[in-house]
Amino acid sequence: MAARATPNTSAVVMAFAERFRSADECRGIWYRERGPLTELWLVTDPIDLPGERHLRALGLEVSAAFRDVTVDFHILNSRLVGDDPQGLVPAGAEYHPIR
Amino acid sequence: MDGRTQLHLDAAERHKNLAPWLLHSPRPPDLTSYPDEWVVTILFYSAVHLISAYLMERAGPGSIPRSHAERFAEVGRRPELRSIVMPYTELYDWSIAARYAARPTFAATDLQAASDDRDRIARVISQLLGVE
Repeated sequence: MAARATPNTSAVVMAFAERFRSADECRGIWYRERGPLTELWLVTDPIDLPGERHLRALGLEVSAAFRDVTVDFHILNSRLVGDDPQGLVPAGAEYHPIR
Repeated sequence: MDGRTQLHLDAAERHKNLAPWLLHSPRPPDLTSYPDEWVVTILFYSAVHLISAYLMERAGPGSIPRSHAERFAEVGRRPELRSIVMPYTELYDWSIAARYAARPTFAATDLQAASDDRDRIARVISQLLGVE
């Protein structure tokens, strides 16, 4: 079982979920703490390159709001990775719904 | 410049030059499609060497990350590398898809975007190292 998220990580995850809540192509967030990093994976439906880059820019905006946490934000786009994007989320990551 | 910095820059260039070779060389008869996923992966590792070159030159061999997580942390904490976070993360994510997805699918526009990402990182690192 993954370790309980620290308050900082919980705040980061909540902020990301809030930011992507209205984006229908976003399926969910997985996260874990790893050393100095808070790692996040956003799993999406198949989206084109501009759409993926838009979400990536939004993620960087959210990350920038947390000066005391280094956020390592990733996107698993079903267009590139196929039918099972969740299968590429590293072991130990916790799921967080976004809506 | 430290000789080890140059070795990383050389490796980055070698990887970059291998990518178009993979895409445009005649295919062996038993290879039914071009190895797009390895093009993406090679471009990502070119970027890794560029970052290693910069860290070697600025902070010495002890600063070279030993894992992707350490490299993300190092890039994330250095303001002068802020502009490469997006292209580097994009290359990393696509290389994960390339290496671990059962059937990764990259369009020609994705391969061009990956090459552009790598070149953007190269420009920033070259400017920082003063080797333009």
